[in-house]
Amino acid sequence: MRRLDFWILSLLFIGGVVSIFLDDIKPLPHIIGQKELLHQINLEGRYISTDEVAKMIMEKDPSLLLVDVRSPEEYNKYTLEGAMNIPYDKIMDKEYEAYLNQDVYTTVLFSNGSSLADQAWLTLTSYGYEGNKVMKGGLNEWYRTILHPQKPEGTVLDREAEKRYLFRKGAQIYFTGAQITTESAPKPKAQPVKPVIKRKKKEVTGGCG
Amino acid sequence: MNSYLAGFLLGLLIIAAYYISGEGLGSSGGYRDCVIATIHDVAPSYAEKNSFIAPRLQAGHSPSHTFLVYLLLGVIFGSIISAVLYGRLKWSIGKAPHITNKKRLYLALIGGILWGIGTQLGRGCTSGLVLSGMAVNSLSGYIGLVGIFGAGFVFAYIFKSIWIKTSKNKK
Amino acid sequence: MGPLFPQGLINEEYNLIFAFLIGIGFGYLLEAAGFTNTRKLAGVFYGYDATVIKVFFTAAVTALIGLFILHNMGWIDITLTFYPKTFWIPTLIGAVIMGLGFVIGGFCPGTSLSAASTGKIDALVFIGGVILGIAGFIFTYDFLWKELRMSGAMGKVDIAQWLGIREGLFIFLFTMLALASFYVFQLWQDSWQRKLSEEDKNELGL
Repeated sequence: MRRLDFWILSLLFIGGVVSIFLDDIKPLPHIIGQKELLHQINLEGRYISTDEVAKMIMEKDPSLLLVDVRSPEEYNKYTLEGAMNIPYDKIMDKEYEAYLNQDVYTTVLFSNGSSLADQAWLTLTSYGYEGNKVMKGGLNEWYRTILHPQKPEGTVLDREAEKRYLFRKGAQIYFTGAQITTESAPKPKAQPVKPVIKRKKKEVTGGCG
Repeated sequence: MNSYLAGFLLGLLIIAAYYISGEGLGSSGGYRDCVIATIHDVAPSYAEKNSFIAPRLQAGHSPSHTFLVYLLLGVIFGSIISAVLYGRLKWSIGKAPHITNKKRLYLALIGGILWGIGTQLGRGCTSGLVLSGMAVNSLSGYIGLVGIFGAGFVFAYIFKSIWIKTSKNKK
Repeated sequence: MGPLFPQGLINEEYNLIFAFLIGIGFGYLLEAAGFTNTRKLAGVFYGYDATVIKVFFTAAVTALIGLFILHNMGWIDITLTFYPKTFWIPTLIGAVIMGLGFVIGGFCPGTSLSAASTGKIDALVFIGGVILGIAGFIFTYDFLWKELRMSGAMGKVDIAQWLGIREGLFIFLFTMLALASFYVFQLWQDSWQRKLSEEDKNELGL
């Protein structure tokens, strides 16, 4: 075998061996993301209200994927029905990428308030993960609007507010099993069900050669 | 040129292409873009209705102004340069000596048509689909590899007489 | 950090100029490796010429390892580059058709352009065929090919993940496979040395 052949083949061999020790490919934080990121931050489209989430749960909307970004302890104590737990410090783990970077489900991140879920959203979006939303106000808002909806104040007939209140009352019954008359409700049991996603389906378009 | 060296340099070229343009090398794409551009120039209303062409048309941007087309233009020049350096620039028909020129040209035409269909269905050719696909660990690249070379070996056995003198076609 | 164009770090004109320059290199290497010679190209299927396997796999492994290492060093973000979506059914069928075309025609689209540029008339005919094939495909697309082409969609699938092993490990295994195949094909080619005539050997450059 000629000298040149030997050198090139050895180089390939060494490269192959070195590769064993390198990390799998994860998206790197990219610079240009900044402009787009700011644009996306300003878009209100990333928020979804507690009402909408309640509606999707009650309708058993199959496209909903709820992600609780708090710690496992908090998740086990109480969480939303059907939510899975991806703690904030693990959101970039490869095993969760299939859930967080796809366009099949509507992924709704939530936490106690908004801040942790917002942070999670920021992190994911800056890495180019798409399709994630934040439940505005988090579980605190959930408690305030769904579990303990307030009767609309004032004497002025606000049809929207009335409708919303009725909806929330219905939701309250669904989620807490409360009687129509009582105001306080027992704490609901969490029934987290981990959704199984076999393959992420990206939109099909033509490729190139 | 030493085959391994050629391959190695080609690999570096692929890396450069990915680094600069974010795209791998590809050949069939350039052909496709030229065909689409021509159809678009000649019959724009048909082009917009055809569901293969339509997604690739962008306003104010000719479909032939793509990375792949310019790549192919470069290929033409690069090949000529190399041929001149190696003294291989001349008109000829490349074939095995035991078949006629006419037969060779027919075979070339048929082969070309097959590639035309195959590349659009398979989304690429050996360089675009397989080589560049393997460079990024894409499954489709490996499917292409297995398909082209696997089928190639089988068909080669069937069509042996085109390339190899057998006792049946010895002149 | 690369890739440059997808991140807007260079504009489109430069991108196209680079495409042209890279194309020059591509064409040069194709011709220099001897891929304008159809007997050489077909030779890999019969064993008398191992050039195709050597060039092809060396290029693939070099690019594969190179990109992987560069990504790990943070010099390029592969996730931003063009990554083909896998449609396994049309890709497989298309590849089989291409394999047939390779054996019959003796070229692939890239090498045929290279050959045509250097004077091979059969390559010009081949290119004509490719254009006819593509045009024919486009005109019949809506009623013949559309469904087939979109079938078997799997999204962007990485082969290492699909096999369930680490990417680095896969690269290593593939490199070993390539090296092994070089050895095998070289042996196969050597076994032909006795059978090939002098003029054949000259034409093939062996």
